[in-house]
Amino acid sequence: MKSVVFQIQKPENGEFANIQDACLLKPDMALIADGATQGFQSGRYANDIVNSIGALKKVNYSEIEKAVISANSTFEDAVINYSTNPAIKALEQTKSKIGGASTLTAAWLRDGKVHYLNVGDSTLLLFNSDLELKWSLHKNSRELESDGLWLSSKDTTNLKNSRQGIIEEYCDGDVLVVLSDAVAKYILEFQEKIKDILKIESTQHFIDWVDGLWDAKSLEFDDITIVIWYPGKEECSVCIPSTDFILEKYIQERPAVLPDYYNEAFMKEFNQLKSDFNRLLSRVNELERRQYNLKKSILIVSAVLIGLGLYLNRDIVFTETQEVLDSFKEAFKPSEESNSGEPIDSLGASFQDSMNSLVDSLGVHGADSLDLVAGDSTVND
Amino acid sequence: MYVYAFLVGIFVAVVNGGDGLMYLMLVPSYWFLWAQGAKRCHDLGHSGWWQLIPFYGLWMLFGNGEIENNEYGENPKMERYRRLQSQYQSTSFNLNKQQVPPQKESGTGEYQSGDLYNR
Amino acid sequence: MMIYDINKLNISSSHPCLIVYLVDQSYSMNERFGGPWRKRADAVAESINDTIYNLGLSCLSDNGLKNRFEVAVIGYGAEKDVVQSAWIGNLQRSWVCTIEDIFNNPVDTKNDKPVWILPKAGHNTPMNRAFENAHRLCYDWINFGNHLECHPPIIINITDGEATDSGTKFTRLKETVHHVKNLRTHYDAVKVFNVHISSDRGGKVAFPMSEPTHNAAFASLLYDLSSELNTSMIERANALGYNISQGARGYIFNGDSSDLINFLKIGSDPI
Repeated sequence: MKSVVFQIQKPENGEFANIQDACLLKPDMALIADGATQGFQSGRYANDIVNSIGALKKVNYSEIEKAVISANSTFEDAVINYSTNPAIKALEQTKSKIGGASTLTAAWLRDGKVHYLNVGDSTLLLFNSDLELKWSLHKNSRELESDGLWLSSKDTTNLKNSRQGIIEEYCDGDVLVVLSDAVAKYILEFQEKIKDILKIESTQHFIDWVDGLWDAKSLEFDDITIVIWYPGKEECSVCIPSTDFILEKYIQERPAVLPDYYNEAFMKEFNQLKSDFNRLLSRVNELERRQYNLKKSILIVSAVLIGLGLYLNRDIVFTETQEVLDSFKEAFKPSEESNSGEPIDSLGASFQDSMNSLVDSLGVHGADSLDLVAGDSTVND
Repeated sequence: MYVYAFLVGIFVAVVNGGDGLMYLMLVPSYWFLWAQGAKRCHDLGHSGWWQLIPFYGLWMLFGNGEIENNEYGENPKMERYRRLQSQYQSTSFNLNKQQVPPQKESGTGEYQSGDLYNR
Repeated sequence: MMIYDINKLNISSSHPCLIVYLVDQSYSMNERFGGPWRKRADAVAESINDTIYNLGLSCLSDNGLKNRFEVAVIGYGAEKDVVQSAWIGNLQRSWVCTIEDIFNNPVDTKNDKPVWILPKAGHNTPMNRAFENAHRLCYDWINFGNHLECHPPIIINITDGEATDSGTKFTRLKETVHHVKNLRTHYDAVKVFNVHISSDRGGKVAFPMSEPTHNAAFASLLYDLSSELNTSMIERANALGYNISQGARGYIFNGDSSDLINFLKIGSDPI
């Protein structure tokens, strides 16, 4: 009976080095931290947590909490090398505000008792020597799925509200199994499958076992980490692939990536042209507005001046208008008989009088011109 | 105009001793004014006779001319509009010409089988 | 026997999901929407850009972007009876683009976020032809690589009016969408969701569970054309305040600008 760690990365991660799960196995301790995709650089965060807890000399709840807080500082203080692509950099900056996110399930032996601490959907199961399930942190897969908590590098609230306790059911010879979420759901559904896991003796055997379950769609495509822990037993082994291991079977035909045409110079020129255009547009709008205001002002001033002119000269205007009207009235009176019995050309005479008065009011001189207009035969030579 | 006025003035002065000058001056002046007024009325899409309406002159002064061609002819500013428009078009952001890798012509522009990851 | 349980499916770069946006680019998209200086076309373009940005967030991992989603944006009506891909710039004439391609090729930035889709409003509404294009595209996508083992494509149609190429009874449109919804991967059938936007506040219908009794025949038609939301989409819709349950259809009629944004959030994240 020896403690074992099994790990395999999900196909999407490419190489094994990119796995987002971190784990630790010691004779007196076993833990898993599963980096959550909702967080920023969660794989790194999970590693920071495991390293910090693994460095503890004395393990208890408060020490673990301090270790996690220390891991938070380490994570947040690390320098981030953002992408040179501004679009991806914007994504990274947005996500970095969320911070790192990871689950944590830790179990340790102290004074003959097994203590545990848990945040999130990695879990802990206790089997007896006959591999029957004696105790589980999450009762079933539904409870596991609904556990949506995780540790955050920005906030220790979930850490303070972690599940903590002592596994009273534990006795010598029992085996504890710490599992990441995907395989935990599988084992909670099919508890007898733990026997299959305990029969695995090599890394390749483990890879084949997982691959078979993936093929059968019985297991989710996620990072798989299993820690089989016999508390107090010194013998430990590790069944993990090399860092450059890739699941070649899952390298699918994917569309070729477009060559990287992202061009800083082009975007700069584009933005410059856009700002020039906007500047010209606002200038045109401004000029149009000024033109409109100017027209309005001229109209108002003209109306005021005309009104003022009419007002100041109202007497003259009134008088002359009245005279012109009177002349026209005279001109259109019915004809009267003259003393000699012949009709008087009152229209012609009235018209001539009207024209005279009009011309006088205009200040035009010269009776000759009037005579020309009237066509009077009695023009003075 | 002034040369004409001067010559007319001399002629009238010879004939009539100085008077009548104003009337002769008025004839071409009014012709000119009415011709220009008629052109402005045409800009506004109205007949030239509209300028005889009292205070129509204010409309002529402040009204906006019709941009499109009307029954009286083409907009004299149309050529300028066209020049400005072509200037804007040449500086507009025609992204199709920027940094595009060679593309397969796809006829109608609609999706054809095989265009899935068209590059 | 393999059991394809969609609840156990993780969308990943080895098992990506396709999202197709059908965007109405008809003349009426020039009308005001969600603000005095904002047109419908502006609101739609902004919402799609934001949604693509959020998809990018969910694809960002420790070692860069994972192609967990592939996106197609099909515009219809910018010119008379024209349906074409709405990508521009380097992505022009591409139909389906991976997230990596998309984020390598934005055409602009706005408020420090990349922009891919620009607003357009042109002519009529050839919605039937748009769905025909989507049908051919989804068929090819499903039969490419291992996509039969992936989450089925999701089609989100954003419109502000009725189809102009399907007659008065919209028979052809119904048939076309029926064919689209018959396409499937091993996990499930293709999902079709419809969001209709307008400035008319009366008669709004959001995620109905039964056919709406609305005056507009087009309201009932869009209900018929829409698929049901899955569990995680329903949870997200409830979190956004819509109060719906199992059986609700992915459909909004007479939605405003916030409905548009919420709809895209709900419909574009299947897990």
